[in-house]
Amino acid sequence: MTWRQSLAAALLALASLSLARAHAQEPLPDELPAEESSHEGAIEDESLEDLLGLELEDRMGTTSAVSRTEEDVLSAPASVTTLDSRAVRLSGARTIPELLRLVTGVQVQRVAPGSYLVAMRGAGGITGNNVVVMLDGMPLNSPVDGSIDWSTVPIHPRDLERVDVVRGPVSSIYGANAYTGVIQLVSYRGFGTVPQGAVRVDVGVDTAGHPVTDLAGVYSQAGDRFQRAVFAHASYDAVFSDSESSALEPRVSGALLARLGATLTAGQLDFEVSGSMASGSSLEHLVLEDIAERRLLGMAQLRFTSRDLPGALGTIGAFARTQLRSIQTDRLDYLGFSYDGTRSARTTVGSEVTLVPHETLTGTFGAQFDLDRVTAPYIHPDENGDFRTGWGFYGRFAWDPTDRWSLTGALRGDIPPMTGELAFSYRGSLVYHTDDLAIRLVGASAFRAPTYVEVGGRFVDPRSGLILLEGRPQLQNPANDGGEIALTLSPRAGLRLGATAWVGHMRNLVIEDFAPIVRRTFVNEAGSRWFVGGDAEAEYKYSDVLQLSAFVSYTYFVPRDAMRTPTVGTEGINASVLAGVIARGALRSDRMRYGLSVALATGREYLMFAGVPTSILTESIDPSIQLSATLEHELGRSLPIWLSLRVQSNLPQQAESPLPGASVAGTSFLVGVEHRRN
Amino acid sequence: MHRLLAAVIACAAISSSGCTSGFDTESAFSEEAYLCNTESAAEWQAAVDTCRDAFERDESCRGVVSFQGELQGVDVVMDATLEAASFQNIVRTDLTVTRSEVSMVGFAPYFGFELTLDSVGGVVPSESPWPLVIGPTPDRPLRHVDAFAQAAMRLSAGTDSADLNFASGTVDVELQEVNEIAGRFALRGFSESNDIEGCFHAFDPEPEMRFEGP
Repeated sequence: MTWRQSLAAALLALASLSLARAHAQEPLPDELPAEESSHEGAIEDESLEDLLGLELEDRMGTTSAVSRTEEDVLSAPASVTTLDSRAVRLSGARTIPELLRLVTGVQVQRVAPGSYLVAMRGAGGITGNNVVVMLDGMPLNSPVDGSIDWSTVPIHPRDLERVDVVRGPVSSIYGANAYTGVIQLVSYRGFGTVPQGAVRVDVGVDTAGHPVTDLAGVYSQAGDRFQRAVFAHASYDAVFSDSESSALEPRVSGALLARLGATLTAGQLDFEVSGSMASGSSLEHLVLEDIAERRLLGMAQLRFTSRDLPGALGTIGAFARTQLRSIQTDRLDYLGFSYDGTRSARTTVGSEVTLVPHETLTGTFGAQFDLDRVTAPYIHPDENGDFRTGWGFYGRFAWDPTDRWSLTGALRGDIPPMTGELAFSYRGSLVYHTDDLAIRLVGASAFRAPTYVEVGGRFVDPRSGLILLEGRPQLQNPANDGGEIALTLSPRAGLRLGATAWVGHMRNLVIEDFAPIVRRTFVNEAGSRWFVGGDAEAEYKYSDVLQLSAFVSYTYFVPRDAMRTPTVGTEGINASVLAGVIARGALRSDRMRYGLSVALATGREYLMFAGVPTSILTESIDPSIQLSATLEHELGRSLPIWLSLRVQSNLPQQAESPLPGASVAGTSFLVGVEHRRN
Repeated sequence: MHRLLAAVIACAAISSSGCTSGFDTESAFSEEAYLCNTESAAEWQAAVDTCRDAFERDESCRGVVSFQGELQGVDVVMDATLEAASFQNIVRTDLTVTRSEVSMVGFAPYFGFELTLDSVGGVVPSESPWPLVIGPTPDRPLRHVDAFAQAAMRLSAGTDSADLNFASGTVDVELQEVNEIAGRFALRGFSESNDIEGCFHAFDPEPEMRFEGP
């Protein structure tokens, strides 16, 4: 059954590719839907004719993910990969981590249905708090442990305007946990004054015939003065145990996101609010029973950015945002550990000012203040529910002494709420670029704040009353210093090549010290670890009918004695390779679109600390392949209904995690209907 | 929500004093007391008396123990009531009773323990001090009348356990009754990471009685 469906997916992919070649010389679309129209930041939507007249800098577009300031991707001081809305839609991904498998250097592990660990630059293993993930500038990381709950991200991947993935240490820009990178998600932006909307339904089955359903609706309108958008989506997945003999709690998720903007005389004011929920089996944690678990996430953000001010004063910005989370299960007498009863709130206010003392020099200075409150049964009772404060202050500059050279620097100090210790991070970069070539040299540092569990946890066995694991307030921040050299070139129109070599140096890694059972706690690992790696990317736009991109990433860590740290692997498997090939294009005047992709990851092995009381397991993950094929077809211009077929297959068909609720990703087939009004 | 916003404003204004930053918790050992020194004699005696009352009433308390020092390289301090205590007494051929083994089971904040004293010896009953030296003793008929004993501690937490055998030290037995034993100890392991001192007072309602063989 499995191989047949995989074969069917492969045949479908080949058929689509043949179709693409057959139509390679079709005329360019005379009209793009409003969502695909050209706009700031988009890099994929230009036609070939447009590309021929553009320099590499223009073709690569701009990004605000690297420095939180709009800048050219070419001269940005970090490796960044951008996916635009069309690339996202044609990826076929139902979750953002599935999409991230198609991004250079991003390692994705499916822990359970809807639950993933996303890591970059060697920081794999069971830790899910090495990257900062932001949606429209709002961090999605949990204040409790910095991890990302992907099932409560309040937007469906297909409603994203773009995804920027920044690789490398960037704490100097984003603060704690921007340890190995940043993933910036931007919700769809409507353009033009005509209201735009879409309603879509996708239904399908997975390998074993279990139902899979996605529902979504979008409304967006952008006027001269006011902009508004509303996104809603819901998903349903039946989940079965690995033996397929019994149904587990189904995974149900839903979210509502509203965005309002006002263009004022003084500047731009944006308000965004979201609420999301996910319900599923607690088996994806270390609970040994199938219990329904509900997670709620609420976020709100108010942000103001002034217009360009006269003189050396560039812009002034201010923001306030809050994030509320809750995790609850129906029962209290379960066996094992979960985050049941966790309630967290983080409120952040901040402001920054940008100065432009000279046309070649820009400086930005800012500060932010965090207020946390976490209540959970596993936090030390003496300090459970306390309000905690954190601070961050930063300065950065960008200097372009000539048209060819760019020099940037950034310094940031943070006092995370859970440690109260000042931590500095920095970044410096030098970029040389011509019309068709860029060379970048970067040195940067980052840190991860220890989690509430690591510094203030206290897990008590309800039966014996023993403290099975306790945090240690004296932990130091794990740090990551790195450097990279990158080359980007465009030897001919439509072709872009990029290569990056990097080195990372991690120290103060937090490990669970279980050797003495007299008191189990966390310690900073003595010594440090070195990682080296490289990425290579290629992108070729043959025509609007065929656009190809490919990447390969290699990570190697220098083995040491006593491998106890959950990182990229073990002494036996101390390297990993990620690779991917993506093809997509449009046919029939853009009324038919296709996307094909293959993402590969070599086998990995981690030392995994699992359970309370915790034991050390060796977690082996076999090499994996994710195959995706997407086909969308518009019935007609006068009838704006799109039919779609999405197939995704994960090989080999086995779980990527030893956790009891991991289950098999398998193969899924979805057919969809979407009505777009614009 | 409005409470949170109010807290933000308040904490921004007085963050250095109004809100905490960072955890300042201490280990659960800081909540324990070492009751075996002179200053704690009254407290120790009160704990013994309370336990004795409970033991005589319904056997719900089987003793008390307190120790401090280092176990597995971790500084420990604890005082606990015993969940279980068992004695093995030996009736010798001359019908005198001596003590072979004492086992005491209790829970520290992070772990369970079973402290075992073997080859205790001495006369039961007796209120005379019976000093013992921890060290290897050949298994011979006189092992219960010489001044050597063995001490070991089994630690357990969840499904894990560890056995510690003490290589040297002393045990000063201060009281021996058929159902009761009390004393002090100073025990050192084969490495410097295990070194504790403490005191104990244990009750066993039905000690095992074994007759010395020919």
